[in-house]
Amino acid sequence: MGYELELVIYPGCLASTELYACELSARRVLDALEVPYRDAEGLSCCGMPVKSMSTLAWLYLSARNLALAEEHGGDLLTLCSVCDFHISEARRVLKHSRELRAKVEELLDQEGLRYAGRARAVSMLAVLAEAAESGKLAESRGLSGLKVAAHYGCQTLRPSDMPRPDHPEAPGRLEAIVKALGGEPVDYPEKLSCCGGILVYTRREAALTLAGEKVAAAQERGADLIVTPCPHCMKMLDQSQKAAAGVVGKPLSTPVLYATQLVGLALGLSEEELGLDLNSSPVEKVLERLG
Amino acid sequence: MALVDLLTLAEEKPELKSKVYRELLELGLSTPDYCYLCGRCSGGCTSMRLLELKPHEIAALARDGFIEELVGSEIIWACAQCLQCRERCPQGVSPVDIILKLRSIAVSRGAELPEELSKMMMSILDTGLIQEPREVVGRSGRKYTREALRLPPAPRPKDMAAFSEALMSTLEVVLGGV
Repeated sequence: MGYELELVIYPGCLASTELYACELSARRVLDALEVPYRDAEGLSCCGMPVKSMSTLAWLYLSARNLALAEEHGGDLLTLCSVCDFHISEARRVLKHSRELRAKVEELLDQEGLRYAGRARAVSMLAVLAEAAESGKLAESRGLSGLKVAAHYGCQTLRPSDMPRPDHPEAPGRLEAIVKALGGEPVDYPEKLSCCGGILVYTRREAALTLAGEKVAAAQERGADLIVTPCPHCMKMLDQSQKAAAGVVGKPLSTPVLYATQLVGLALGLSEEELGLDLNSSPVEKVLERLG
Repeated sequence: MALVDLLTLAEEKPELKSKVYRELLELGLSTPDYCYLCGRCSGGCTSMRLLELKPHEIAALARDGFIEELVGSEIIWACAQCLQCRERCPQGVSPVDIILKLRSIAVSRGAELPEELSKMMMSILDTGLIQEPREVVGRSGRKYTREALRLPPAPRPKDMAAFSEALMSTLEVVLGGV
C-alpha cells in the first residue's frame, strides 16, 4: 500500500493498559491484510491528559513518540483517534514555532532522542480505508447485509486545518469499509456528535448523557451495530453503555465494535483473535447474524 | 463561583491577556481579536446544551482582558474537546485552545486539578502511560491480561529516570503548587 515509510504500531494508553481488544484486533487484521508493521521500544502517552496543564508537556510527549518512530525510519500507526489528533497537532505546532521546537528538542536530548519532523501519525482508519479502496476486502466472507451505524469520533475528523483521515462534515470512509464488506451503512442524525470520551474526565454525568443519546439514536434508526475506530469512543459507547442507559433512561442494547473487529469478522478471523469477549455490549447479536 | 458573579467584580488584566495571546500565536492560531461574535462555535458546541458552555463568550471575555475571571470559573472544565468550535470558526480562532490555556493558568495558580486528570498525570510521570496495565474481565467472566492475550509487554520509556525528569521540568509550574 501507499506508505512511504514503515509503520510503527502505536496503540496508545487505553489500548495498552485496558482496552486490549483494540490492539489485538488491529494486529490480527494487519497480519491478515499483509500490511507490514513493527513494534518500537520506549513509546509513551501522547500527552492528551497533560495538555490542560502544560503545552510543553504535551508537545514533549507527542514528539518523543514521533522521534522513536523516526529511529526506525517509520511513521506512527495510531490505533486511537485522540492520540492521532494530539500527535498530528504537535507535529503541526513544531513546524510552526521555532521557539517551541527548540524547547522540545532540548527535552528530548535529555533522553537521547532526536526529532527531525519526518515521521507522521497514520491512523488505522486510513489503513483500513485504503484496503477497502484497493479491493482487498472484496473477497471477505462479508457482513450479510448487517445494518451498521458509523461513529467516527470528534478527534478523528477535526480540525480540517491539518491532515485528518476523513472529511469533517461529510465523512464516508467507515461507510465505504462497511459497503466493501457487504454491510449496509445506516445514517442517523447524531452521527457527527460527540460521545463524551474526554468530557468524562471532568463532567461524567454529562458525558454519559452524550453517549446514551448517541447509542439511542443509532438504535432507533434500526442499526444492528455501531462501529468506531477509536478506543475513547469505545469506552463510552460500549464499556459504558449500561451506565449511559441508566443516565438517559432508555433501554440500550446495541453491539459496538471497533472497525478492526468488524473487518476481522468479515475476513473470517476468530472471536478470540479479535478479543470479542472484551466488548461489554451484546456483540453475540452480531455473531448470531453472521452464523 | 459563577462566571456572571465574577464579572461584576471584574477588572481588566492586560499582562495575563498578552500571555494568553502570545501562547495562542505560538500554536499558529488566531487571537480572540479576530472574533466577531458570529456564534458559530457556540452553535456547534457539545457542552453548550448540557453544561451551558458558550465558546464565543469565552473568546470575547479573553479579548476584553477578563482572564482572571475566566480562570476562576468552573466553566473552563466543561469543555468536551470535540473541536467543533475550532472547525467552525471562520476567523481561525480556536476557543478550545483558549480554554486549554485558561486551564493551565488556573492550575498554575493553585486551582485543584480534576481528580481523573491528576491521577493520569502522576501515572505518566511514573510509567509513561495513564495507568498500569490492568487485568480485565470479559462478558464470559474470563479474566484477561496482555500476557494471556499474547500481546507484547506494554510500552515504557527506556530511560525512565531521564523521561520523568524531562517531563517533570515541563510540569514544575503545576506541581510546584501541589
